[in-house]
Amino acid sequence: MKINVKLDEMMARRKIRLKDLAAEVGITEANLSILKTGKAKAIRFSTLEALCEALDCQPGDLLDIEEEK
Amino acid sequence: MKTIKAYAKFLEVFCWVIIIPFVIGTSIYNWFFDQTYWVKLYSTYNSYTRSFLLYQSLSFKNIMLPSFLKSLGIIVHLISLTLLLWGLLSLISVLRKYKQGDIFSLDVFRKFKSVSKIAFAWALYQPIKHTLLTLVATMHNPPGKRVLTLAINSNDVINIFLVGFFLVMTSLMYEGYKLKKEQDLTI
Repeated sequence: MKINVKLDEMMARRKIRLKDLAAEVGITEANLSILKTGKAKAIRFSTLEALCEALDCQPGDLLDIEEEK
Repeated sequence: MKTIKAYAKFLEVFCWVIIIPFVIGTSIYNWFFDQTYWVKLYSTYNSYTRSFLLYQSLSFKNIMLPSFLKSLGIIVHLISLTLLLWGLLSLISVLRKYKQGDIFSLDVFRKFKSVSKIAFAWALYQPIKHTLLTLVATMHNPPGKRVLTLAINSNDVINIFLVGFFLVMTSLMYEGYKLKKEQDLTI
């Protein structure tokens, strides 16, 4: 089972660039990129809260779970 | 972090200015300038092997080791000195990383691992060095008075403890690296 971060989907829906989202959330572009590409090992609640606020969505809109093949 | 950097800087300077010159300097002095060094080497290893009576009957000139055996003795010491200096230089490279604030990276773990391997080799070599020096010291004795010894003393036990401690530290560095890697990938 693997948890995916559907950040690129939400960013496309809200038409926001990585650079602007990173500035609004208060993290570096590099860290946001790590999150977007699924390389992150964990996410802090404070970061998730800031992302949901910036993208005007629920945590469930950003996270989903899939079976690993 | 500031404290670690300060200690690392101090230790690096201490190694370069005091330890390395002292180790190299005393070795060169003992081998080439201290006339009594080879006499002490000869008498020490011969007294261990109960050949002391032979030493007592010989004049000072007779108990000076020939140049060939002195060279062999220097080579035996040189192996130990090389391992010691190699270990010190590896430790200095670790201290340089600490000075830069890089403490729990894979590179630091690998360097620390090599320091513990070198320390292990050095500790293992000390009893072997004793055996080889006994051979060197008694090689030019008459037949029947040449001896081979194998000894482990309290210094060797302490060395084994220190090496064990280094191995524990190496494992700790690896755990620290894993924790840092996880922390770096926590957004």
